[in-house]
Amino acid sequence: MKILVCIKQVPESELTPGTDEKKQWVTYGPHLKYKFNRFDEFALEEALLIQETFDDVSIDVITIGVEKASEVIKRAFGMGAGKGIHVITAENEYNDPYNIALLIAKEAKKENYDLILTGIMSEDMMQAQTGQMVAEILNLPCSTGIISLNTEPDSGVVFAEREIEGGLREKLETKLPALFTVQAGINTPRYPTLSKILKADTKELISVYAKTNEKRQAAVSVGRPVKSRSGIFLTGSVDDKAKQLYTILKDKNAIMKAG
Amino acid sequence: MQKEIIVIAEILNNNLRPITFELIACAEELANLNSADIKIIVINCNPNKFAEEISKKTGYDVLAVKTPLLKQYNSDAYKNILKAILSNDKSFFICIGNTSQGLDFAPGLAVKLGCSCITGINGIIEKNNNTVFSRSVFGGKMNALIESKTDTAILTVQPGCFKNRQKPEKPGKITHVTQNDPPSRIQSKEIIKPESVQSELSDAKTIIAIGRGIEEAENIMHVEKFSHLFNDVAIACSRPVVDMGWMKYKHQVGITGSEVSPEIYIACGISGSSQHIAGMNESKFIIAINSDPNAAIFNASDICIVEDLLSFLDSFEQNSNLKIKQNQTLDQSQNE
Repeated sequence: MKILVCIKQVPESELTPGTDEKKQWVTYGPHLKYKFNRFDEFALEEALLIQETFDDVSIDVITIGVEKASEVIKRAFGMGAGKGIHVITAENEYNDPYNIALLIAKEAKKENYDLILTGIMSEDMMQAQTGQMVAEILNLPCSTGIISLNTEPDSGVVFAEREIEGGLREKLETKLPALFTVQAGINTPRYPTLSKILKADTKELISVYAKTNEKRQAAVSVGRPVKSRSGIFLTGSVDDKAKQLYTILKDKNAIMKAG
Repeated sequence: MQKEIIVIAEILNNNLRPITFELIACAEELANLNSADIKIIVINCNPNKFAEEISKKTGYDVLAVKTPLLKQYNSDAYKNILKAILSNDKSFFICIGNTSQGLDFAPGLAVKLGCSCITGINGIIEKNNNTVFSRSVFGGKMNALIESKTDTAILTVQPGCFKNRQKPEKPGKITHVTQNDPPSRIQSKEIIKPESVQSELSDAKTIIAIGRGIEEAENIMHVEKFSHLFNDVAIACSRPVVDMGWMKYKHQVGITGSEVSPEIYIACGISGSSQHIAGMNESKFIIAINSDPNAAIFNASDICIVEDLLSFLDSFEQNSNLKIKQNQTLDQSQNE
């Protein structure tokens, strides 16, 4: 069974990017640190679990990103991925998910993957589109927000559960080949192991330059969100703020009375 | 040729979801900026009751697509049906909910129609004679304005950003078509509810919610200790805390958890993703404690406290005990 996992490198969530002069897009300055998109980690872990359950399962990972994004492929090798494909883009910019999907599909077409997995969305752009668009371009059935996946490689059937509103789950049956976007909590992603990290350089990593740059949508500007509430910041030392909060809560009769 | 703004009604588990009326409010804003007719499409095995409800409550025309062989939503069916109906030059904007169902088919539909798909829209702005769309990026810390480069655009609209638009009007016209294709590649088997969502969260005066900023499961007891100072309180959490197995799903607040509206909501170490905020922004008073001064939660809070969570809770406890002791001393001295 051949599995492809689409992964992305994203800025660490605790850090905030700055904006360029015209405020048209963010700048990816030197203060930013990067990590594996959390949702794609769940997707890769799901592939690794399938590999541990069945014989003859290969896992390729693909990322579309700047040169530095190869780090996320190396981490995927450390977790257990077999082969990596890096489609190198020129710079960090606002990407149309359709273009990313075209680039992924172009590489995916070269192999006949039985299963393509990716996270439900990226933590930075939060589009929640790329997986579905890849599936459409490749004419694969696609379901999103998967919280449970049971594959039967022999019969080619996948039993999946997708998460819907109200704490409900929809049970689906699909025939492979198929694409799924996975939701957080589907599994517990493993840490890379030292032995696999050391062997990472022996793994096959194909790097190609991105040939398309489709833009069906573009960023006009970026900035801080409009505040929906007054947002008063308490000031002073931690004790000052604690006292201020105590007074606020006491005035609202939220605090337990003494005695 | 008169352009159309299309709204795809959301029917989940055979219920017409309120987001449908928010999509209609969004469509009206778009229709004001770009002269166009509004049309709603309902796809269901029994669409008539939904079509009638929508046409009565809004006055707009509805296309009821009957799919007798599909008992539940099916992504292939939705994409194929909508491609057949919307492959013309009339559609301007196609409004779909930014929900588990909407996102399941909208991007694939955009590929079929050859148009853009802009997701998670929280506002519409007219800029230089161009309609642009506001959406959250970087975990909600920033907002981007996005324009479509194609004549037609699919928009998925964030719940809670547009008013639930209903007003009694002369009912719109309902057109009926039938689509007899059976579900093909994906079969929906059943819908289950694995865990009941406790209503204990909905009764409390104060809800104290724990986010990933708690850092370790062992630290949760510090928040529990903090909660003992309150007179009517429940503990809740954000999704990542449940995903990591630190707390149970019944405590989860957000789009895929509970929606709460207590008098006081105290967000402890919660970054403030739009999915979480959607579950608590009806709270009367929101207090957020987070060590990141740029945390998105601060844009949706009344009181913002930039501090290390555990240090702050510790200080609060010491200072409140001091106040309680002071009050006791005062009471005692008054009694003497």
